[in-house]
Amino acid sequence: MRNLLRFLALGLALLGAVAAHAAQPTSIRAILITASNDKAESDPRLKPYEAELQRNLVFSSFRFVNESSAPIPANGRSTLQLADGHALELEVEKGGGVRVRVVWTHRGAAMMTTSLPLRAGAPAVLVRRGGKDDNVPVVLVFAR
Amino acid sequence: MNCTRAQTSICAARDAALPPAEAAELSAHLNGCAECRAFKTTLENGLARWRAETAAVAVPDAELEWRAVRRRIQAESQRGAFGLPEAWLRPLRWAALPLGAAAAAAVVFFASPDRKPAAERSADVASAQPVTVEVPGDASAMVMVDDRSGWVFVVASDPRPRDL
Ligand SMILES: [Zn+2]
Repeated sequence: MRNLLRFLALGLALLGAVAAHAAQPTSIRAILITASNDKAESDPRLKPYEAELQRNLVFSSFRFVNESSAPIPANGRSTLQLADGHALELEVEKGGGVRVRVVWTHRGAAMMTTSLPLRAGAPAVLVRRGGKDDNVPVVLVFAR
Repeated sequence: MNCTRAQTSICAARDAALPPAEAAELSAHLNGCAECRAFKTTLENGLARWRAETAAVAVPDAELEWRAVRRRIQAESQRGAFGLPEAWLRPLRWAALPLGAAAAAAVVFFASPDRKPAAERSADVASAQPVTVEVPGDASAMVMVDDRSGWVFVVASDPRPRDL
């Protein structure tokens, strides 16, 4: 019985270690885009993302504004400054899988706060639609 | 406009009036697509029920709500969440709309985007993780997980004047 328990404990510890290792991203990257309904040339910097954006969002064109990335420090917290007063406060929550809490502000005003799981290769796409659908800010958040 | 975009628009239109161009595109698509018409009707019915049930939850504690939703999903796994048939859930995969209240928190659950038979899906749902969204003022939010890519879309919208 004791051996069985020891075996189980070892198994759980190993699983935990593997999960923790696989789950910890080393950095977060964000891309700021503006979306609108005007027909426009596609931006080569958005080539890898354009198909999914077109398929899922109701905008006709996407314009790359800028991008920023930061390593995730030990406490999991970091701030990314993007262009035009946009900023992301990030908190990577430890535990099973990568979970990120994002506070998106624009010139100090709250845009949205979200907490979501983030998988490698699949970004979170944050969109803030205002009264008009031109130059709608969109932020792609990646863990890597 | 394809069906995925049409269905995203249908969801967005629940929260705020669509811009005229998008509304026109959507109505053109709906005229020619019985599947999206049915999606719209069922979503409206399902959401009415979802909203009634959500409004009855006094304390929007994510963990409690998640447990309740999970039980309900498991109970309804034959019918699909919100009583929608499985086929209609697939393109949006755990889309949910919050109430348009101040600082509304949307809690959405989704599983990894793999195509498994419905019988295995309740196991997926059990390991699903919630997405929470808070938006300021009277903005509303929608969360969608693309079934094909696994990308998570969080769309917050300011209220629009209904008649533009
Ligand atoms: Zn359709």
